This record gives sequence, structure tokens and C-alpha cells, in this order.
Amino acid sequence: MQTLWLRHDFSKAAEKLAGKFPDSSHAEQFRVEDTTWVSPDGETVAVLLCGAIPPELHLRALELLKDVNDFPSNRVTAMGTRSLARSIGRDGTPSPRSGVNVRVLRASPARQALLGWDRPGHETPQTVRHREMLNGNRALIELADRIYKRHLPIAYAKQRVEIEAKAPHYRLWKTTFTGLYVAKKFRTAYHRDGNLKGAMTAITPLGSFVGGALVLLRWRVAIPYKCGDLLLFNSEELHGNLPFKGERLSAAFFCGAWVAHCGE
Amino acid sequence: MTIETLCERSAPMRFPREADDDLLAERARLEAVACRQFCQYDKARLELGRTFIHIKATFKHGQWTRAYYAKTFGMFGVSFRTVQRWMQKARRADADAKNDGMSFLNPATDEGALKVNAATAKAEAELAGATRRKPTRENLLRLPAIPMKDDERDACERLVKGHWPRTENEIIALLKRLCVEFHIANSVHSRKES
Repeated sequence: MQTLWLRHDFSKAAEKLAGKFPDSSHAEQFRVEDTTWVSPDGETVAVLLCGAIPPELHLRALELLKDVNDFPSNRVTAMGTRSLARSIGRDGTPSPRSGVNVRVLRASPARQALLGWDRPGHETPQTVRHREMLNGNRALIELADRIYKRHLPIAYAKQRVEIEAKAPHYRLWKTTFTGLYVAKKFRTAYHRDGNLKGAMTAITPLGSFVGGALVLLRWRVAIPYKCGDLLLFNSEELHGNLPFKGERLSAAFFCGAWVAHCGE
Repeated sequence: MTIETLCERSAPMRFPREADDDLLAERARLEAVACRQFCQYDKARLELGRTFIHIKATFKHGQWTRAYYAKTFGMFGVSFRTVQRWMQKARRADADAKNDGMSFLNPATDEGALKVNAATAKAEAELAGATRRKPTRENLLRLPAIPMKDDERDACERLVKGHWPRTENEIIALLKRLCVEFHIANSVHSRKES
């Protein structure tokens, strides 16, 4: 495991690129081995573990999750567009609902699914419809949790304390995650995810593809992870993907921001 | 005059100025900052370099000397040459950061990104042309292309302008009766029962 100390913080310049698509010129570091990135103030920015997921788990996950088919109509920034009326009716009036416009949705092959809990006591519709997607991946989710515990024990302990105190019944088994987000053929623009503050997200790509590196714009780091690798990073920082070719899904295990207000 | 305004100029060392009271006060403030930063020696070399650039900017040309430095900061045991190196490093780092900020703003030009950008532009243009109308009672009641005679159309308009809640209930009741009559539903409550 290599430790890489990041010297320059480009947060101000990065802000301007929220909602824009990443380009390979945005990153100056590409790492393809086990690495921990540490910010100038000593915080762990990301941990990449190559080959951490055994083939039987990621192949099974791919089989279970490859049929996700929801449009990412609520992910304006990640789609690289602006919040617009979703469509125009037959009478020529725009829809009162705003989000990703249908034209943009048609132009992109991206699909998504959210599994697990999305608020206290409420499972997402996708979980109810396709429970096998979650239950079949229990071993993978628990493995991601164990890896998180081993490599980032302090962040893990904080997250565990928070979730056990506030939402012990709304997590995926006994892990520190409340949900599994699946992105299919989704080349994301720079965006932030609304996760629990300070909590890390574990993400693993699935399928056979080339490209698709995750760019952490603030640090100008690109992480070209592959199927079987696991990346732990703070998804509240701006991040996005470089273009890719092939079949690519990514499964992100996260703890929702609503946990902080649970039980208030 | 504050030090920020002094330093906004592109090459501060080329602008000698009068040493007025404000300037002396500002210099004293910066000297205090430098003393504090010396105590965090390892962490703040760059910051020190920047501070000394600012201090130097308060002097006339040729007055920023080794003697001044030795008198004011000599007790910290850092040579004048070292401080000059820090200043050079800070200038270089700032220039690098500025250049980096410029260079990595290039937008992505791959096919997927261009497609999404084009679709967004098209959707925006389409929405700009669309008229945003609130659904009114007239809009809600508009039925799809039913040929009506003049008296029938007048009757419809009177209906809309009349006592709407009662009219609405009567229309719903009539539609339910028609559904039963034409065997679309078994009874008016059939959907609820099923």
C-alpha cells in the first residue's frame, strides 16, 4: 500500500466545474495500485484497494444488477445538465416538475437504481420490486463494510456510532451503510453526493470496460479502478468519471445524509 | 492604504512609495505576523515567503536590505538568503497555482459529453419557446375535438362559468352512469370494490 501526500488543493478552481464533464487533462495523477491519498491537513481523501472483491462476488453482483433500468431524472448535476422542466405537454406547456429533461435522458444511456433505505422506515420502490438485488449482494456489502473497517478505522467508528445511535434499524444488515446505489452506463459529470457528513462511500465498478476513471477534482487525482477493485472516498467532494467503453456498472455503498436527522 | 491594495499591483518592488504612518503601521502588523509564522516554521515556509513579499512591497527600492532583516528578524536564526529562497518559492507556487487553474478548466470534448450538452441546449431552446400556462378551469374542461354547434358551445361556456363545484359533481355522476350503461364498469363502485 502506497501513501500519497497531496500538496496542492484546487478547491476554488474545482468549484467552477461542478456539473461539467471530467476530462483527462483535469488530473495530473493516475494510480493503478493500492494507494492511500492524504490531504495536506492529514485527512484521508481516498483509499484504493485493487482486487479486493473476489470474482464470485463481483460477477454475481453484475448478474443481479445488470437489469437496473430507472432513468436518472433526479440527478441533474451528475448528468451534466441543468434543472429544467422534464418535458413539454401536448398543449405546449412545460411540465411543472423539474429535473433532467427527457431530451437529455434520451441522449444518455445512463440508468440507475437506489436500493435500501432512503428515509427512516421507508425502503426504496426498487428494493420492494427487486429484493433479490439487495439480498443477493449481502456478502458483497458485508465485505465492503469489513474492508472499510480495516482500512479507515477512525472514520468507520464515527459512522458506526452515528448510525447505531440514530438509525440502527435502517441499515443494510449490521453494516454502516443504509443504501446501495447502482449506476449503469453512467458517465457522471462532477457532482457531490448527499451522504452523511464525514462518512466514506465504498464504490466498486462491475463489468468489462475500458476507461471510466474516477476523478477527484479538488486534488486533481484520477483513479482508474477496475472490476474487483474497491475505492473508499468522501463522496461529498466533487467527483466524476472519465468516458469509458464497454459494459460498466458501479455499485456504491453509502450512508444517507438523513441519518444525521433521524429520530429528531 | 492597506497592504492588499499595495500587493494587487503586478510588480510591487517597482513602485516606491512614501513611508507614511499607515505604511509603518501596516509594516508592524506584517512583522508581527511573520514572528508568529516563524514559530510554525515547518508548516509555514510558503506563507512566510508570501508575507516577506508583502513586507518587501512596503519598502522603497533598495531599502529592503540584509541589515533591516538582521535587525528585525535576526533572532529567529534564519538567514536572509533562506528567506529570499522562500519568497522565490512562494512566487513560483502562486504562479503554478494560477496556471493550473487556467489549464484544467478545459471542457470535456468526448462524444458522450457533447451529446448531453447538445441535448441540454436543445431542451433549453424548446422550453424558452414554450408558453408557461397555469391550468385553468377552461383548460381542464377542454375535450378532444368534439364538433359542436354554436348553441352547444354557448351552453358549454355557460356551464364552465356557472356554479362549478356542483357542475363538476354532476358531470362525474353522469360519466359514471354512462360507464355502467355501456358496460365499461359493472357498477359505480366497482373499481373501489375490486
